[in-house]
Amino acid sequence: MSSESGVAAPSVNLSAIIEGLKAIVDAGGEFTEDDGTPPTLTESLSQAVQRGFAERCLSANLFVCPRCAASDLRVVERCSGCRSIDIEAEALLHHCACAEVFRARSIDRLLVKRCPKCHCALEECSTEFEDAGFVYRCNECNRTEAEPAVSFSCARCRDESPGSLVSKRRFYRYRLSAAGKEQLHAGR
Amino acid sequence: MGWIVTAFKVFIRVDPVLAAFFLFIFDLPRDFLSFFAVAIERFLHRYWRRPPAEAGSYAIVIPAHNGGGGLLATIKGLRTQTIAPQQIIVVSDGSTDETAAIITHAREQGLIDIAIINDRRMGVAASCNKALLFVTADCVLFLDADAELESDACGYLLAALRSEKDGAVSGNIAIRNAKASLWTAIQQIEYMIAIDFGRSFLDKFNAIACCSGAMTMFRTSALRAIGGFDAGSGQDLEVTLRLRRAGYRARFASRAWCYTDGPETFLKLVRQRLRWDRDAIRIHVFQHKQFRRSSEQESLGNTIQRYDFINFTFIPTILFPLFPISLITLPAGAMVDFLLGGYLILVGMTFLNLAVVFSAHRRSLSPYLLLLLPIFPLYQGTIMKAVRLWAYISETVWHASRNDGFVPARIRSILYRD
Repeated sequence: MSSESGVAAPSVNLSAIIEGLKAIVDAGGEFTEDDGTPPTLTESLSQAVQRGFAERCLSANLFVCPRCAASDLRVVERCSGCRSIDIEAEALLHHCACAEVFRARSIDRLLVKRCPKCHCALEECSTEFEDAGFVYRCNECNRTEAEPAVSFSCARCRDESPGSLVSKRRFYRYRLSAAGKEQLHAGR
Repeated sequence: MGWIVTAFKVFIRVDPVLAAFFLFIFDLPRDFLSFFAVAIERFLHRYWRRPPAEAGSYAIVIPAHNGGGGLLATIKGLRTQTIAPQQIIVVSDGSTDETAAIITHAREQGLIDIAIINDRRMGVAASCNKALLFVTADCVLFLDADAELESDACGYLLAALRSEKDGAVSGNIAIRNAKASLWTAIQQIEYMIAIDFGRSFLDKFNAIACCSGAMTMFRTSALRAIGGFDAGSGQDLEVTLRLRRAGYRARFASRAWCYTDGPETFLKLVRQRLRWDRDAIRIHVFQHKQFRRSSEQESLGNTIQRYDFINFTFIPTILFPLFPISLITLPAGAMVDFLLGGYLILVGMTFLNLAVVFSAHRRSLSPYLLLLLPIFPLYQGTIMKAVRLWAYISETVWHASRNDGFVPARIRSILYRD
């Protein structure tokens, strides 16, 4: 486990550090932070690391809700035009012989059997066709997009936020350092 | 002017038939008449019209394969257009440089509307066709990644697509790095002649054969109706001819200016022209069979367009090797007089041509360009004609365009397998 340990901070709240060390001991020697961890405890643990009493390593790097900080987010794809969620990804094919790029299949069905431009059959000339990515078609307004508008729905507070507002948060796993264990044995 | 008359007398006296042959090969009849016609038209309409404020919606598509640093400047420049585009779509076609990162960033910044990133290179034609799937505007402008537009360019292009029958319109092109070398300066003159004046003249007869790939706006419905671009190099010429055959007009907007870089060295210039001329003969002659009528009801414009290529490009080029051979028939000692007189005539005629072009050209020009006058006939009439002849031979005999790296090797292997 690669770990980080900080240098002693100039001003340290000792009671906060003890609170952080206790949390580690109570968790059986290793405390894993999550989105339910109170901010005050996160701060205490951080100070313990800075003081050299604890070590930490990254356990998760997750998107969190900008409203309630929960990390239980679901990705929602919407049409950029009408905001409908009724959008379908369709696979594009490129017919190398005539440069046509067309919607060939949706998730559950083949849309065409021939190249719409030169009418070459997909089965007969299969070596001439290659994948060319996806388009997203809205079943409400029929708009075609290269990429849908992505937003994040929070399972805890039900709020939906656009991707631009959602940021990542780093969660750590903490354990006592040798200095921290010594401090605890000494009863200080 | 006296020396031109003297040279002409010497030139004609040696062999009048050969003299006429000489003038035909060196393009003079075509240029001389058309330049005067365009200049007169411009003087009669010297008060320029401004582009209309509302002229329909348009999208801009920029296909880029390793577009590099110039791409961001091109994208930012689009925001200055007097008529704003409805959509800006940029395609990174299998780029291995920072192009994909640039357009992703531009998308996040709201500078462009759609970023398409092809992990694997598909070629310009397929990239443009892919972008066409997302176009919702009435018209779509395809632009080179390094092209820089004047702020009213799109307005003039839109204004030229007035009728439903106007399928495409290309803009005027100037060499941005004209002062970089002798070769870029000479290309500037060449572009003034061939594009600014040549296409202005052909536009009057609906006889434009090629809307430049650097900057052409299409009516979206027309481009979709003909199936978009075809695979292979020279797709700008090919799609214009196909549009014309489908009954659409190809237009030219002389006031819509676009700046692009020309090759700076002679070797690069020759490579570029070999590619263009190989594509030209392959598409004009072998693919579109321009030596015969496209249909019983061929339009006058299509007929003029075909004969413009046959009479003023194809025939002078294939007759070019006959010229040195025919010099052998001259009386002994007359060859030097004939060549000297002939070249002086060419310089004199070029002077008259360029005087017309310079006076009716709508942009400021460097006087430095005038210094190129004595060598321009040599460049245009001899060097470039020899390059074109070699391109024709290499394409006809060896299908040299099949090795053109402009199209990905994977696509070429499918296109040209026998």
